[in-house]
Amino acid sequence: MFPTGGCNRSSFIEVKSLKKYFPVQKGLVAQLFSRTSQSVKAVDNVTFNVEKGDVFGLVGESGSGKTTTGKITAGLLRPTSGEVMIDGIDLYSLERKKLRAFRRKMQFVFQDPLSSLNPKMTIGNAISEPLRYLSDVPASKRRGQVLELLERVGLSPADSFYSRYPHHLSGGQRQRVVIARAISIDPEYLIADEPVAMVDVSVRAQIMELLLKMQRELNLTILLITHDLAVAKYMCNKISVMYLGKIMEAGRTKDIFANPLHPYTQALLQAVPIPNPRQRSEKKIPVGEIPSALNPPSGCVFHPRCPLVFDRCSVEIPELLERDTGHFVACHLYPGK
Amino acid sequence: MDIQGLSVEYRTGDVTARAVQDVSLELRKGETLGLVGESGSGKSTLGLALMGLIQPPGYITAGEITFDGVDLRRLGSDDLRNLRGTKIAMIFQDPMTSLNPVKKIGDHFIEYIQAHDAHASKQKARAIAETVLADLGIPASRVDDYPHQFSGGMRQRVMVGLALALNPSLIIADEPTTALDVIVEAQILKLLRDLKTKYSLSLLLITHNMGIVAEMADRVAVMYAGKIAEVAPTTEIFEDPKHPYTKALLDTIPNIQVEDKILNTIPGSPPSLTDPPPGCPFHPRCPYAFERCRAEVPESVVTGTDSEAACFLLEGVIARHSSK
Repeated sequence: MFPTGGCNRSSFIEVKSLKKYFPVQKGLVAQLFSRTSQSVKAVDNVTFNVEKGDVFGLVGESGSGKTTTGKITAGLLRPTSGEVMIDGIDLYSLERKKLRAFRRKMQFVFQDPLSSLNPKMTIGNAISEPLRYLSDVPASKRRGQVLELLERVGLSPADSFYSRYPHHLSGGQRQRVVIARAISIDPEYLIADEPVAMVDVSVRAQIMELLLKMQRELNLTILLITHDLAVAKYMCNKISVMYLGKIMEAGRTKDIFANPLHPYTQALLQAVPIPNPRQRSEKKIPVGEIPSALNPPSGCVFHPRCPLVFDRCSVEIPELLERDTGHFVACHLYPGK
Repeated sequence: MDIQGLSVEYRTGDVTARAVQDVSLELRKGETLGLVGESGSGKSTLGLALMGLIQPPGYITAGEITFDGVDLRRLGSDDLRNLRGTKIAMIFQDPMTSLNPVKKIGDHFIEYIQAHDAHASKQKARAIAETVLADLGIPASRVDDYPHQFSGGMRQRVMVGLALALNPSLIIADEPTTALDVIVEAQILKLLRDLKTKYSLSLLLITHNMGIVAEMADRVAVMYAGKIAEVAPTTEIFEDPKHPYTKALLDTIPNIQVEDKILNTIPGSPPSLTDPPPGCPFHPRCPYAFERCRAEVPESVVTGTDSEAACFLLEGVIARHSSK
């Protein structure tokens, strides 16, 4: 089943025991007098599988390691240890040139479309860039293809957008351009890191719908990174909840929302403001904030804030175990199936 | 506080952005009024105007802001400065840019208190800081820490504490939790609710998040393109929205407690404030738009015992109501 790894033919992305530690630079004096080196454990032993055609959500607060994990699965950041297999190929065993060729299969959509687009490049040129460098489309056909892409992402009439610059467009339109550029070379895998966090509320639903439409039409596999549980619920069929570099709970979206097992997931779901004034109630909100990844708590990383903590939690790191079919949780309250 | 016909413009070169246009709004004693809108709707500018903080290239071009019987626009800068902090205080979005990184937390309080009362001693100011921080769940021993030693949530608590230090009666909170994670956001919202009761405050809560409004506000004002589209009690806004924009906005918002809600999308994007469409600013995106919407600007009409909305469609509805 899905986060356990092992050989599963249908899984498209397999991440196994992934670790990413960032070393901390010390001052000269500290370097001379202490021998231990410190590191930030951004991602600490993360394992998950994504099947082809999944919209897989990595959900967590800032500092949970979700973006770092996303970058590693995109081949943008070498992990400290662990394995990333995409379509059966070990991403970090590839040599540079092959890795570059392999990147054709994946594309990105980031949070801020304005900083993802070159302000001096027209929309048309921005979208033809990947066609020029990463595809076999001849120069004479590029313009036509770009126009087609613009129509496809809802920027029509495409002609009128082709020679405009990013600053002429609204935030939502810019994000559409970024999506058009991302799908221009027919990728199989799309990483969307907070794709709607900076988009206006009234436009957010449009962009989510567009991403889902592209997913269906191109049979894309999407890794969606978000802090917004409502966005994850709307878009993903599976999610993993991360906290301080670890996966706390993973499974089908509907199972996790209907029956959250981990006290952290329960807290997250409770904390989300509900747009229904008749549902005001006293919430049980955990105290404190996500601790520093430089010096994470012993045992279960959530134990200092957990309302259901008991003595085992501060001593032993809980494993991610299957509790119900396809529903995994890393918590000592659940001894596994 | 009572706002009548307020307009604010930003002028740069020969371009004028009408950020707030002819806004009339009442803020009642002890209530939480939610002011919702998307970016560029003018909600933050309105908040700044209420604090007397509009500075060139921004100008208040018309209107009155009356607070406790005093017209803020007629006050001199000294009187205005006196009013800020002691009567009205503001909490901003990003606590890191609002706090001075080379100043201790306690010194922020001392500076703030002494700016309003030159006779206040440092000891007295420190004592106030310690009491307020204790209310916010921050130990008194931490007044000598620097902002970087605080987490994001604690920094925002400090901002709330500074706003409360001089015992104001009105707090304007502009997106106070947008920079925070969801659990910390819930903590700060709970804190605001508790303090509001404890200090008997009125709260103007500016946000783009309908969920926060649903949890916090007594009444809601919806802003669009510099204008108030609709004002109504919170339950009415969510259960019986009158303005097409409010309706559409509510349909685009996902709710994690509702199974497989299908989201509607609003076509297009918010209009430019420098080149707004003629007539009703929402008409290019409105599914019910007709001839008149393109030509005339709708005035607010009364839609219920305590609600009003600016839409031509509602005129007929109300006429029918009153003829019954």
